[in-house]
Amino acid sequence: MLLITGILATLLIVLIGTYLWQIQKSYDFFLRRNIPGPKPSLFFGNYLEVIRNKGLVFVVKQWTKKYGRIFGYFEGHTPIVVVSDPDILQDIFIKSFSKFHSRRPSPFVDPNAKVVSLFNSIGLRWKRQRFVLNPTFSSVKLKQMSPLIQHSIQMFMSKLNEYCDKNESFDIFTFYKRFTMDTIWSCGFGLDTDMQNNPHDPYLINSQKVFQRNALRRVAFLLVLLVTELKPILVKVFRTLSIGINLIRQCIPATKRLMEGNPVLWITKQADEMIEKRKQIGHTGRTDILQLMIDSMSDSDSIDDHSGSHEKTDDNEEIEAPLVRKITKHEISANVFLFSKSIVFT
Amino acid sequence: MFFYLVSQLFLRDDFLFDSIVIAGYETTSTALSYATYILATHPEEQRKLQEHIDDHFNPETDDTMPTYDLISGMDYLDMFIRETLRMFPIAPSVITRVSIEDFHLKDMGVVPAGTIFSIDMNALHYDPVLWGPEDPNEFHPERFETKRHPMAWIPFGAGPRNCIGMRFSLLEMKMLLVRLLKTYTLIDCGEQTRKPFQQLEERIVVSPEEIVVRLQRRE
Repeated sequence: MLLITGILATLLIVLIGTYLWQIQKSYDFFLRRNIPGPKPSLFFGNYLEVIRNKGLVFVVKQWTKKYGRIFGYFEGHTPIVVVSDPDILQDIFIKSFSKFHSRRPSPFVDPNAKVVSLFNSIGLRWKRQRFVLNPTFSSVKLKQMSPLIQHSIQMFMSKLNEYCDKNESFDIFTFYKRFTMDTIWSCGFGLDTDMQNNPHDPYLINSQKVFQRNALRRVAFLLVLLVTELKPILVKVFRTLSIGINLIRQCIPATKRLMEGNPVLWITKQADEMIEKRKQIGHTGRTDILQLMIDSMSDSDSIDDHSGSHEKTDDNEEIEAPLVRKITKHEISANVFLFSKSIVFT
Repeated sequence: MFFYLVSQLFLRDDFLFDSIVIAGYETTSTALSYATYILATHPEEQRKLQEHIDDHFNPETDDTMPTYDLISGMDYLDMFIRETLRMFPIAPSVITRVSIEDFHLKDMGVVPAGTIFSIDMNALHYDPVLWGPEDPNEFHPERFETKRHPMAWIPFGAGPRNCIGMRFSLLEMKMLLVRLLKTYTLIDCGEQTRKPFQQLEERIVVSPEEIVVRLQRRE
């Protein structure tokens, strides 16, 4: 018994030792390329400084001041090049876009999964999704959607009226948040809610839950960030547990009180129902993002884009696949949800 | 309790985990709160914007909502919002790109495929060479009358993969501000208004905890 424990312990130490040794080797990434930057420490890279400064913005500012318009730092042992030379950025973002068409992968998302939202999709899949979704935000469509925004503003104004009459100071941010959330449901999901008047509205509550902070999630995030090699395993673990716990909730109603429902599943369920309803009643005359996406929806459950992670997508490239103008139902849900998270995002 | 904690952590699928990273229905509302902060703490700027709004409306019909076409014609309003987002970009560290081929960095080495590139957005937004002659630390919407470098202002990213919702978001903000400032003046509440902006929190989205103001009905 003692022997086995001893062997296992030795193996573990050797494994960790080899891992750290491998990591240590990766830290000469910037040195070899003459790119300046702060000196990384083992395992954390420069991420401890990011944590200490409660975010990237301040510490990146200090580094730019010290190392100039191009420098490199490490999150764990992942090298990140920070550029603030406008000409080089123009090359990366516009001129050489075909070489830089994807974003840094999100820590818990597999970009090759069956359904990926626009924010995380890559290769031809991104191209197809963006192609389908772009017209949604054209001038004509925005003009058609503006009565919905006006309606939400009307509600916002009547709420403010109450506070003006009281003549006291108040936190207007709360009302801005409810207002933007209202327009998300109205213009995105095509649903009128009463969330600006009713703080207990289930749509408001569930949407806000999605954005709540959580210490355990933060730990999981750090784990994937620092030990990137574990990402594929962790993503699978989270997915399986998520499905498992949801099954338990559905089969044994008594557990519902013990385990909080997943607000994301709740929201995607609402979106799925709205899509079904729209398909049944046909065009409603209401122009919202959901309707615009349904108009280009495909009957198939998933679309194979053959999207390898290193595929080149030139913006002017012709794709002849018949499905290029199509989007699947699950992608609509994913993207409606994405919309709810990121009206202002890239 | 255990189940509660476990569910907190795991009862969520990819979509959510990706939302931790971009964390943001607060984006448009945060932009509105920065505009509110500027307006309340710069009464001169507020008056100027209100006059601009009044010029576009018939004072007799106070209740009319701004239309899409009306908003499109309001140039100063556009510059006002752009200047707000220049000084307070909502998510400065979210804009990244990954190379799929080796990339040669001028005067430095070749960076291999798969490397993550990120931006120091504030370095660009506060660059005196890109934004002069007025001090970039001052709120000055008119600086947008001059044509600037295409990468000088990038709160929504740039190129084919920029923010798809940019125009929607700008429209929404503009419509709300027009309607708000037509009826009310935002009043600074001193320390209460200013303090949260000295302690901005960064959770991908950089935002204040709250924005406390008082409303005064316009005559």
